[in-house]
Amino acid sequence: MCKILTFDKGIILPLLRAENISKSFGCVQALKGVSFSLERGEIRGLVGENGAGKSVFLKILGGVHQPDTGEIFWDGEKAEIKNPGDAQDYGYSIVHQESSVLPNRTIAQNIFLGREDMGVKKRMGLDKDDMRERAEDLLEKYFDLSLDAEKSVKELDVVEQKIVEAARALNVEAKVLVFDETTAQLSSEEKKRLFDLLNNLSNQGIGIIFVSHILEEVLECCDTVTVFRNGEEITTEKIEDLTIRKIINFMVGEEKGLSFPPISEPKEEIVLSVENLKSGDGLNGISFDLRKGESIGIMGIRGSGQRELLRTIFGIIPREGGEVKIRGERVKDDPSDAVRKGIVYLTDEREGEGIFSVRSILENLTVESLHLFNNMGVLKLQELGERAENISAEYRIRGMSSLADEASCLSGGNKQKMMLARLALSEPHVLLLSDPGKGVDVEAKEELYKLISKLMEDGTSVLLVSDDVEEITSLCHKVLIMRGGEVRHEMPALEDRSKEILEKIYQ
Amino acid sequence: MNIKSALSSPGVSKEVLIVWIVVIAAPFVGWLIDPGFASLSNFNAVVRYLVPLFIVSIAQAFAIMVMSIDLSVGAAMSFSSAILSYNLVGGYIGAPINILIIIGVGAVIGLANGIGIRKIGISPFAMTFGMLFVLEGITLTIRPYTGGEISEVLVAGWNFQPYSIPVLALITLAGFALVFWYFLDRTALGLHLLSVGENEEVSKRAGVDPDRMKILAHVIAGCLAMVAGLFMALRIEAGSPTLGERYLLLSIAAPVVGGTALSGGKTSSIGILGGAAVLALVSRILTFSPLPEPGRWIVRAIVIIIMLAFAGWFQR
Repeated sequence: MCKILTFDKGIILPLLRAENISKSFGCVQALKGVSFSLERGEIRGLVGENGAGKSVFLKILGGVHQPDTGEIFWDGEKAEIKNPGDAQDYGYSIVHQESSVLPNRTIAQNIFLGREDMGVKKRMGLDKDDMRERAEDLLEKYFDLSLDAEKSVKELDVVEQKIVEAARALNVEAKVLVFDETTAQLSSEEKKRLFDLLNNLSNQGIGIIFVSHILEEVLECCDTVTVFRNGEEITTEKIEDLTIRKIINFMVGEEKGLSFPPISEPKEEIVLSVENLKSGDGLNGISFDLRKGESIGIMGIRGSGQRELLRTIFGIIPREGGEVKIRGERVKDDPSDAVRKGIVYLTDEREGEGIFSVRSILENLTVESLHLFNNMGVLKLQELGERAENISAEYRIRGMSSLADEASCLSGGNKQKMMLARLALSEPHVLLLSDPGKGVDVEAKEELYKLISKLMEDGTSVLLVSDDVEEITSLCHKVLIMRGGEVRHEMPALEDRSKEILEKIYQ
Repeated sequence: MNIKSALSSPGVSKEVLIVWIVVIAAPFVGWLIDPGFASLSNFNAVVRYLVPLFIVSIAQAFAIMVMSIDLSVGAAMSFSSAILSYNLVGGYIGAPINILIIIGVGAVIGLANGIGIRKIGISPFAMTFGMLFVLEGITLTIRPYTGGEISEVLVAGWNFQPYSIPVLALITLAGFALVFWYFLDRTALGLHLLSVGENEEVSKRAGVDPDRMKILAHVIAGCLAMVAGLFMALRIEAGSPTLGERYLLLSIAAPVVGGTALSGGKTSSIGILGGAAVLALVSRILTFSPLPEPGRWIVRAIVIIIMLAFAGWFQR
């Protein structure tokens, strides 16, 4: 019925349309009535801060999650998408951020992986020549690329590997291709090549959804941009009508209105100095000084090396050059030396590398400061218990009957407070905090911020990695903005300059 | 199916080339130690020893290429020889029936390993190590000492050696090498096993079922280990409760020396054949040396460790 109407009016139906999609996980509403439509040959940028709902939305289109409400239409007809296989049958494919090819196999084998039955199967075994020919035709047709399909994929450069991934999708007749943060590891020249390829695909009628945190790229290669914020589709605009500043305004919107504690001024004394720090994980020479009681925020789009910086200072990621000094004394490339010298690290992988879930809260609190309660190899249990009781009261760790409870019984916010208390117990000089607000409810967040500012007041210095600009401008004295493993900008972390900070990040 | 395409197929790498250079050089070392090494009867002995070793190495390679391991292959070989030593069905018809029986038993063993590992979630190490003792226990019950009789038809075929040329052994080697190469290079199943071993997540996204592939790999490993046991039994013309044990370390060493990655997803027929041949030659050279038997064991183990160290170094 719908079909006849639209044809009568001479309107071409959109290739893919989603209407009023909502999705909740527990009590968190990830998507609130999102509508979206994509034409043939359109290149659509999809942007939003982390947690804005982009990836949940893409997973619903891809059949990984089922929406609570809303419908999806392909070519104007309602689509029944129960699992990823269904979505693929309709023509939905994703080129993932992390590589999704098998380096040891040939190009042809990669393109036909899982689809060997597509006419290339002879009575016994595969027809290698046919596979090769068809793979080469595909690369030629869509990408204007002549490659020997018998080559191992590991011999290809990064862009070519992405092409093989895209070709695998096109081989199963994809109509919509999602490029999810695909540019993250590409140089600017490689990006140019990728954008040319996107244009090539769009000319052949393939709809493209391009997800990126780098707004400059989005402006460069997309026709239209959709902005998500807090699970809502805020706007969809033509690229001609947009600037980076405009997109950021859509992305950030109003302030969230959390209350932050005041922070004290730092002292003169330099506590931590990082000199030309390099690592194999992509740090390209980073230098800065951290003063007593000072807090420096570190921001950047995902994968710029912020988290790696903390982990390299702490010694989890081996250094490949440079030095870390605390009050002029060299800190070895080793976490136990860092802890001994008063540098402690709060991980963003709380469950995986933060807490000991099946050990007691007492043990979790004191594991990093046992040396303070050591009497010739025997622990002073009385004193240790008292200190733990005191700090758990001070840090308001709630939801336990006693310190003997397993740590796994605590809620996310209380686990995080427990982690911070553990670090505070060891009386550190420098706190490395990676995303302290991650997976923590609003109330606990405010408590955490108070605790952090209290520690700063007592003279502890802080390095804070976060994606939340409000958190950074409220808790930090200055902010370093990273990109590609380098510090690109350094600016004072003032609230009224948060838009400017974001602009520098997404540029 | 020409030599060029076989050599250019993925998996044939510098490790494989080096191992074959060693295979060609080793007989000269043997000849230097004792000129008697360069004889047809010695060639015959090496080849006949190589057959069970090559087959059990392929069995192990099936487990390794899907990032697993099968520590029960040696015990399965002994078990196989013990079953065969009862010659359950005699005569010409009996020969293939006996072989089908051991392959069937091997499939059950492999299925148990695979299900334990993939469906129940036992670590491959623990599961197949446990299986080793289960099989050893059964074998010692039915055949406590070396003995019994193997199908006279199979033994006669195996011993058909005009001019001291081990015809059946050579055909078997060539046949297994070719079939295994074809399987890896030209069948969807072979590619899927390698893909799952290289990256489960990527394979899953491409529609390949990792659970099914890994269980299947263990089933094939079980069957092939039992077939390797057949050729071991033909060599000694009896069933042995313990001889298979000696093949366990070799079954892991041969693929690895031949360029198979312990991290999965990479193996080759020609590499495993080369690796097994090197190990067979080393063993044979040591029997020509004046060392006493325990001394040979020590030297052989040290040589294997050194070769594995080299292989690991190359793969990095």
